[in-house]
Amino acid sequence: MSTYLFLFRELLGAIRTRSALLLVLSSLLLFAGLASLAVLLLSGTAPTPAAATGLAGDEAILFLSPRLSAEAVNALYLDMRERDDVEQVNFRFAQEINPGDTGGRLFLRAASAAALTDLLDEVALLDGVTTVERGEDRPAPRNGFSLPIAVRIALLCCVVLTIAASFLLARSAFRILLRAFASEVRLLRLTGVSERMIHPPVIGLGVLIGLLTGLIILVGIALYYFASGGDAGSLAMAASDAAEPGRLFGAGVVSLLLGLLLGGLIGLLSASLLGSREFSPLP
Amino acid sequence: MSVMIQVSELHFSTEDGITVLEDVHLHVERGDLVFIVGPSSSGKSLLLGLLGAHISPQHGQILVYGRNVARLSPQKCLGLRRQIGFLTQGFSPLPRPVLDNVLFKLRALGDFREKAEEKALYALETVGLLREKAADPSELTSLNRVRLGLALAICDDPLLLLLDDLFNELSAEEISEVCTILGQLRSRGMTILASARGPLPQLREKHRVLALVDGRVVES
Repeated sequence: MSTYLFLFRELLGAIRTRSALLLVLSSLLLFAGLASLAVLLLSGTAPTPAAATGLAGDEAILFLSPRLSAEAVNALYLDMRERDDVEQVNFRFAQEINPGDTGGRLFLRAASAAALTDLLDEVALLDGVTTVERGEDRPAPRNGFSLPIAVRIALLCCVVLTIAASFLLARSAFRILLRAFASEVRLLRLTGVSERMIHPPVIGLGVLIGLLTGLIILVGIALYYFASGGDAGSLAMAASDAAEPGRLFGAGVVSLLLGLLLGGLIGLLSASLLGSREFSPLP
Repeated sequence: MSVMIQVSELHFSTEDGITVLEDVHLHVERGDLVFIVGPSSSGKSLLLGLLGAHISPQHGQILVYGRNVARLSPQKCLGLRRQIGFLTQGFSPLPRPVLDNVLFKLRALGDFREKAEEKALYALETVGLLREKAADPSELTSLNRVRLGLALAICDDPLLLLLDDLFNELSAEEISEVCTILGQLRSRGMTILASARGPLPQLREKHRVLALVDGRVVES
C-alpha cells in the first residue's frame, strides 16, 4: 500500500461521531445543491412552439402583393373564412409588422397540418399571393420540465445557498477531524515527511465527498431514465420524453464534474487548516 | 571520529528582540552522548530545533552531518530530518497502542507492514518496552512514555538523536535507567544530544555535560 493510501486510511480512521455527522450533513447539502443544479439544467427554458418561424405546423402566412386592390383582398379574406379546412384567418397590413414592407399578410390556421398542405397548394396559384410561409411540421414540445421563472430563481438560490452551507459545514467537520489527527500530523512533520504527503489525504477526502455526491446524482438520473422507459403513461416517462437522453446524462456528468471540483475545493480549503500553529511539530 | 554537529557563532533573537542564543559554539563528534542542561526557557529547545532543521538560523553556522542547515533546500531539509530522531518536549504519544505508534511513523516513512513491524519490535525491545507493545499509551508510566518516545525516535535507525527535556517528571532511578538505554544506543554508533533542566550531578560523572547559560553554551 502506498504511503498516500496509508495516510488516507489513517485519516479516515480518525473520523469520530461529530466529524462524521458534520461530513454527512455537508455531503447532503452538496447533494441538494447539485441536484437542484441538475433540475435547472434539465428544465431549460419554457418551450415555445415552432421557435424558428413563430408558426405551428398547422399555421401559415400568405404574403399579398401591394398591387392587389382592397376589394380583391377582402374577397380573398372572406373566401378563406368560409372554408371548412380553415379554422382561423386574420389580415394585417405589412407595415404593421415591418414598417419597410408593403402589401398585406393573411395569417391562416388550418384544421390540421395535412389540410394546410392542400390549402397552400391551392392558394399558391392565386394571383396576388407572392409568397407562402408555413410553420414547421413537428410535434410541439411537451412541458414536462419547463419551470416558471420564480421556481428557477428559487432553485438557483438553493444551489448557491446549499453549496455555501456545505462548504461551511465541511470546514467545521475537517477542523474537528484534523484536531483528532493533529498528533499524527505533528509526528509526520517531525520525522521529515513532506507536505506533499500530508496534504493529499485531506484533499482526497474532499474529492471523495464530491465524487460520491456527483455519482449518486449520475446514477439516480440513469436509474430514473431507464425506469421510466417501461411506463409510457407515467409522469416519469413524460419527463424523460421532454429531455433527450443526451441532455439527461449531460446534466448527470456536469453534476459529477462539479461535485469533483467542489469536493476538491473543500479539500483544499480544509488542507489550509494544516498551516495552523496547532500542527507545528515543535511545541 | 568524524564531526556530527558543528555550531559556530550562532545567534538567535525572538521577534521581540530578546536574545535567546548568543555566540553559541558547539562541537559534537559522531557517537558522542552529550547533555545540555539549563533552566527553563534558557533556549535548549530552540537549540535542538535549530539542530533538527525545524527552525532556520538567523545568524551563524550550523553543520549537521557535514550539511549547512541554513543552506539546505526544502527537500534536503526533509532528508536531513529523516536522519534525525527527535523527541520533543512534553512528548505525547498517538492515541493508539504502543506498537501502532511506532508502526505509524515507519509506515508513513514508506516501509511495508512486515518490515515496519520488524523494525518497530526491535525498537521497542531496545528501549525495554516490548512487553507493553499492546498497551494503551494513556496507561503508561512516565518512564515508559519516555521509552516510547525513544522507540519512536530510534525506530528508523537515525544517525543523530535530539532529545528535548528528556528527564522531566522522572525520578533519579528512572533517569539512571534512561541513561543506560542511551548508553546502549551510543554503543550502536548513534550520536545523542539530550537536553535537561539542570543541574543533574549524576550525569556529570559519566557523560559530557554542557550548560546553557545566558544564551551561551559552556562546558560544565
